[in-house]
Formats: sequence, C-alpha cells, structure tokens
Amino acid sequence: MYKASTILGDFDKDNLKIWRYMDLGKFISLLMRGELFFVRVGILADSADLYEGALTQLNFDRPELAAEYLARMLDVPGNPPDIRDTVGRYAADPDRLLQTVDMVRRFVYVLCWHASNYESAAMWKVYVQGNEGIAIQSTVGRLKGSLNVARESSGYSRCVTTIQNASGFLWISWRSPSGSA
Amino acid sequence: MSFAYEQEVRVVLQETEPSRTYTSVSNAGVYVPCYMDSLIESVFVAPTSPDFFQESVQRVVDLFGPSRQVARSSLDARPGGPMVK
Repeated sequence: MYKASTILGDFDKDNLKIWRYMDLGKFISLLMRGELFFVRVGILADSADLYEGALTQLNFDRPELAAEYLARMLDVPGNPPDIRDTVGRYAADPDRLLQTVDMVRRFVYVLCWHASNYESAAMWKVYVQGNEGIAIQSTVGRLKGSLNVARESSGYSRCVTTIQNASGFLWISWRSPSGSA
Repeated sequence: MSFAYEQEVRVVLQETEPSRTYTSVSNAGVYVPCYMDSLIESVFVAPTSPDFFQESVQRVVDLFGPSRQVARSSLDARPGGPMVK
C-alpha cells in the first residue's frame, strides 16, 4: 500500500539502512560521476516496476489518493494557487484524472532503495548476474545529506522541498508490504 | 532476515525543465549530483564472489571513492565459523 509522501527533511527514519545492488560497471560509473541516476517514471510504463503498479492501482481504486498525488505534483510556483482545489475535483472525473496523471508523470523521476537492516539474498539475485556484484549500504540520513542540493521551501505545498530552482522538488516516499510502515 | 521481503524507500524528483538544473539529462532520466563520502556507509561484494573480485573492487574504491574497506557479503559467513565481514 502506498503511503503518503512526506517532506524530505521531515522523513524521520534517518537511521533506516538502505541498500542498492549493482554490477561493477554501474558501481564504477557511480563513483566516477559522483551522481545518482533518477529514472524517469514515464520510461517505466512498459515494465513491471512497483512504482508504476502503485500509481495505476491508485488511479483505478483510490481516485481521491491519485488526486492528492496530483495536487502535490502541481502545487509549485507558476501554477494557480487554487490548483489543489481544482485537482481535488478531478477525483470525480477518472478520465480527466488519468490524463492529467499521464501528463504529470513525464516530469517525475525516481530513485529506489531497498530498506533493510540486513543484506538480502533475493536482491543479490535480482540485481546482479553471476556473483560479481556490489552492494552499497547507506541510510536515509546519509542519503538526505548526500543530496545536498535540496533546500526547504516555505511558500508552497508542505510535501515538497525545492531543489535549486523553483520548478523542481524532492520528496521521499515509504513503501512497505504490510502497509503499516 | 536476509531473505525477508524487501521494503522500499523512494526518492522522487519532479522537474519540468531538468536541463536548467542538471547537466546530464536524457529521455531516460537525470543524473543528480551526490556526495559519495556522505552517501556510502559500507561497500559489500556479492556472496561467493572470488577473492580477486573483492580486491579489484577495493582498488576501484581506493582510486575513485570515499575511504572505505570493501567487505565480503555477510551471507558468506559459515554457521559456527568466524564471521566474515
């Protein structure tokens, strides 16, 4: 079950251990570039990615949540101040809701981490072919500190933290199989 | 616990014009600058990977990464034996 996003700075699980599993090529690229790759959500449309599944499920089953999701996306400078009310009404119009979600998704990028106190045998298998793989372990707090381009904004939606310019923002969402996280 | 179903943390970035902020932008996604020394707490090599692989990864980290000891996967530890870490 998808849980509502929170402000990056307010996500209070700083000590949560998070992992990424990768092959040597990706690891070298990560270190040399000093950059993390955020995948464009629209690109994931044909895959079985969890994010995409959650969004689609949201659209069909819980239109009010999808509307809330949209409102967060669109509540940025340059959009009308009543955008949240406008989008809130989309919940009653599924076609319009879906169209708008599709439009907004083109501007959304995600970076996924696996949260666990321990290594995962399953993740090694999923993300590494053969046995020549690498896992980096971080924490939510470290991730926040490392993406030090973010700064708090006070003028608009509570769920967002701006990054460098007015059009971009960043937040962390938390997903758990039990839905009770 | 190593076999438990994984939970997930996602960082979501919304950018209508990422090229205004980031230098590496493609249709597939965006590279966001990140301080590796802040990010990386530990580095592990996969279970059953050969020794030369661990040594090579350590060399790569020494050359390009923050100062970290590359550890073997804890899944390689044998019951009753010494912990490999």
